[in-house]
Amino acid sequence: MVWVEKYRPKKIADLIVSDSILDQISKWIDLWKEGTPVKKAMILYGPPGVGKTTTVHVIANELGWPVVEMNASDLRNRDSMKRIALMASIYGDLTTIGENRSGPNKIVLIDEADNIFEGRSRQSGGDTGGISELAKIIKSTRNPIVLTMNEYYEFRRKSSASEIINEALNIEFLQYKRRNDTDYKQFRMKLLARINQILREEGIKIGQSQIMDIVERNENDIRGILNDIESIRDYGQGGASSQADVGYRDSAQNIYKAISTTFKSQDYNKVLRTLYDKDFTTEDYMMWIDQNLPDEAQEPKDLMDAYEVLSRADRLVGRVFKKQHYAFKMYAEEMSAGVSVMIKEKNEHYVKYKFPEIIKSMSRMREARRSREQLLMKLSVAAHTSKRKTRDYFWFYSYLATRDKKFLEGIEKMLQLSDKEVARLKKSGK
Amino acid sequence: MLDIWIEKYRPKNLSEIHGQKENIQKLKSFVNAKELPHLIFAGPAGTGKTSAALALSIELFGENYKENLLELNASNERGIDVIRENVKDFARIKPSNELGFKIIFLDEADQLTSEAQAALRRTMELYSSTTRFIFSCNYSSQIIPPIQSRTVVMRFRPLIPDQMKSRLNDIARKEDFTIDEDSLTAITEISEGDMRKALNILQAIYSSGEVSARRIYEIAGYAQPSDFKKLLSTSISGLFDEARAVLDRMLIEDGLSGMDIVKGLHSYVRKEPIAPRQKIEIIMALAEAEFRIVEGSSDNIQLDALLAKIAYIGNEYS
Repeated sequence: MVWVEKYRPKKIADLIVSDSILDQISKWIDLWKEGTPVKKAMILYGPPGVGKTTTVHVIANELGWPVVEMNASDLRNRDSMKRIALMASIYGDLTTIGENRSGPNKIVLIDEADNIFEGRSRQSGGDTGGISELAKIIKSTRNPIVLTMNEYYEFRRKSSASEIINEALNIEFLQYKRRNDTDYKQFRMKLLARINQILREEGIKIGQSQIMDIVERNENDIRGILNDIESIRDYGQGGASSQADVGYRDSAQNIYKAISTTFKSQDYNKVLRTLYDKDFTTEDYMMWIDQNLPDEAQEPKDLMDAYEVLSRADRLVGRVFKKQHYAFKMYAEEMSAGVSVMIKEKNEHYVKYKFPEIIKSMSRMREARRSREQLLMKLSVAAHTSKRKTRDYFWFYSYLATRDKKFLEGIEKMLQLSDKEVARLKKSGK
Repeated sequence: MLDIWIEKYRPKNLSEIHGQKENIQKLKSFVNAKELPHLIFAGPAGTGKTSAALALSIELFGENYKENLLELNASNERGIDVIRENVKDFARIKPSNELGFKIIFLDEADQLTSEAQAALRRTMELYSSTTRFIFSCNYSSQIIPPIQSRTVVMRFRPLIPDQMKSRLNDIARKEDFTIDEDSLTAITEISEGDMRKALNILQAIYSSGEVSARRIYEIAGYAQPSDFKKLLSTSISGLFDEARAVLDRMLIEDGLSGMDIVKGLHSYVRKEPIAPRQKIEIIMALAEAEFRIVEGSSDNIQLDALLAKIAYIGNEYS
């Protein structure tokens, strides 16, 4: 069993969630036990992998209530909407209708609720939107409804979303926010304690600094952290060129050999032969070449010519998808395999081939892009200016943010900026 | 109220809008008649298109204008379907005013492809009894003829220096500081009739603590990010590894896309004093890189190839 499953929290004490969040949730549940509260729904939002869904399951488990789970993509058609409406409105489940039950006894969970809008299609009849339909269900529900989402601010902009947001208790899983606030510190403490407990149980020894690296690299995504640590166990700690390669190492041996043959062999046919039984993708192969090419080509012209081949090969890879024509990929691979032919002045020295920076940083890059876009979107809405234009004026916001404390405080509060977003804003303003 | 001056001092009614006299008169006549055709506001950035739409809505709907106005931005939304869904959701709810219609303001409508515009036209027809569309764009020629023929086109012109100066003076007075004629001239020169730009610069120099023409030019230069400068200077002098480190940081830490980087480099290169032969070679390399990013699969490979080419250009044509 993979760790993510094996160590999925079963008790509230196992949850890696700050006490204040747990407190808010259990108070809300208490209200339900006494009757129907004013806020009948709860929205849990935050980045992926910080335990939103798990928390719901654990709490339901402690209560002995079942969770009726709907994924937003289920909400495409009317029938499933009706099903939610029904489950929300009755006590008990479909098999116990009519039995005398009183009081709420289940949690209706709508996962990834920020996708509801896009998930909706003509099948819904087109006359009522998924969001306003859901708002209606919330108004009349007799059981607690929980919505989870990543893109809260995008969701908030959708029409009818306010009907849901105003009717709900909104809780942010704020692991990214405010690194020095107590919630965050508590989360980090629980996270590290949990990791160390798992390592003890598995009998694995890893230095604390390496753990911290993994935690940072995964941006507190618990799922990602567990997967990475698990792969250290699988591949061992010795032998790896760098501990940061954790989790990408399965095909690294083979690709390493292919890369060194690509660059060092004088025989193009031999290079092609090493690719026959490869266990890595063409795209990975090309990224490895991209990473290591500059160490092999010493002359500007050589570097440019070699990159020209790689760049054209990449264009073919792009066309594979656009034209749905897979044969292009073979050409792309064979072209990439020939980059060293373009290098006239070869580096005769030993080159230690490096793992592609870009693969290592993929999730960080995605997160940076996502958070930058989100920040731009917030500024864009506040200033009635398109995101495109806002990008042009980013310098201006940065400039003010670093110089005008009042401005920064105002904007931070109004746009609910996280620490990260504030840092991003201030960074280019120096 | 958010302390961004372009918001703080956004006109609250049509009379407060500087310039665009004829347009404003026409809009006022619509308000008096309590009737509104579909509109296209065409003109460059910062000439009052969004302000006119907001002020018009306030005059028509009063305090509840927010319920009766849907602001959409063509370049913000994730495709025409999202826009249509938003329009649909908004149009479906009966107008909460006595006029019997609501306004949909679609900013940067010229960012939509003609197919998307055609789809939008059908949506427009469908809800024409309860909604009026205002399309804002830089050039009305970028709007498809079937939409143009159903709308009244209004052209917004760049503000002339005197109009800008009087507005800037107004705001300086309200913020309790004085600004000399040299500074006013500097701002109007740099912002070329774009009020948004002018106000942003004014707020920036005010926050810097020194309101002077010298500081204004300094800030205008500041708008060019130093990362692009570094990216170009390292790659053109053949420091490939350093250039790549800068690039990786921009991609990974700052979250820029490949396209952001090519476009940013382009606007930087255009203004830089570089030998003409080098400049044209670099511009050709940028064009090719942009094309290949669109066509290709990995931004990273294309950008690294671009840096290698710039390094070669720097070496070959020095």
